[in-house]
Amino acid sequence: MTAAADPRALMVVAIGNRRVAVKGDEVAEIARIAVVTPVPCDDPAILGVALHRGRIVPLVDLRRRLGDGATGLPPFLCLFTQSGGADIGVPIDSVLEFGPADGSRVPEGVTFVDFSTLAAGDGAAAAH
Amino acid sequence: MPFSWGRGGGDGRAETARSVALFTVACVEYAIDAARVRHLVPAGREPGRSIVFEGATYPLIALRAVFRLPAGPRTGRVLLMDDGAGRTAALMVDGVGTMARLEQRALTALPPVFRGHERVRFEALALLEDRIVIVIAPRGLLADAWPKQVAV
Repeated sequence: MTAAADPRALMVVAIGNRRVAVKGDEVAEIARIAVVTPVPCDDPAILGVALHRGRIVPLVDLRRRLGDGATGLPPFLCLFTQSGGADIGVPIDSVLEFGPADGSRVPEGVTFVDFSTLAAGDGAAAAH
Repeated sequence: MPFSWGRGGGDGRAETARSVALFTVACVEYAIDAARVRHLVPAGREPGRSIVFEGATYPLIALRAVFRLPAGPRTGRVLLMDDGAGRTAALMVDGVGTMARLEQRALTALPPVFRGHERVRFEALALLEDRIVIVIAPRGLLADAWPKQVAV
């Protein structure tokens, strides 16, 4: 599934019991990932890297980063973003909504995640 | 540590590929510059905390421990290496594969989301056929792992 590049749009996805909103224009694709190559690293929320459309893309476990447990083993559905030149993938459970934001406000009970900040490695500042 | 391809064999042309030795740790494939590999020995024969080979001492470094992975079976190999700057090590790995040629275009810099020790230990990620391989930074790995993991 490829997202339309509407800068006002928000995509709301389910990650565990949490509803997470991302900017629609940052969403490149939702795809199923079957193989993850772990990269030994200091951040336990980084699952490793995966091959996506010929590119090596890091996968970040947003569930873990948000303190909601940990994502299981692949295969899983993955949301890929392209923001600020840094690709990143985040395992998700499903897509809940995708459409223009109502007055640019994040819906009640939804966690907004700034993927450009997440891709830059500043996970603590990525979620609001 | 920046990825450097250096120069070709005296003709002034930049290299576009180099030979690497492939090895595995916990089912993940790693590549190390073939010029840094001195010898391979079976695991289990190491007498203590270092191996002496052709007059040089190679302190043992268990990569599973460095990478904080569970201990593996004692059926692996030990890869004797140097970092090109005077430091040597005997890397305990799970298995050693074939040699390969890594094309420069197959390399991807470590994404910015990786911000820890991995930036020092690894030079890049590489696509080899349809597999992702982690390219070791010999100098960075030994500078990072040698003092903490080795007692000689």
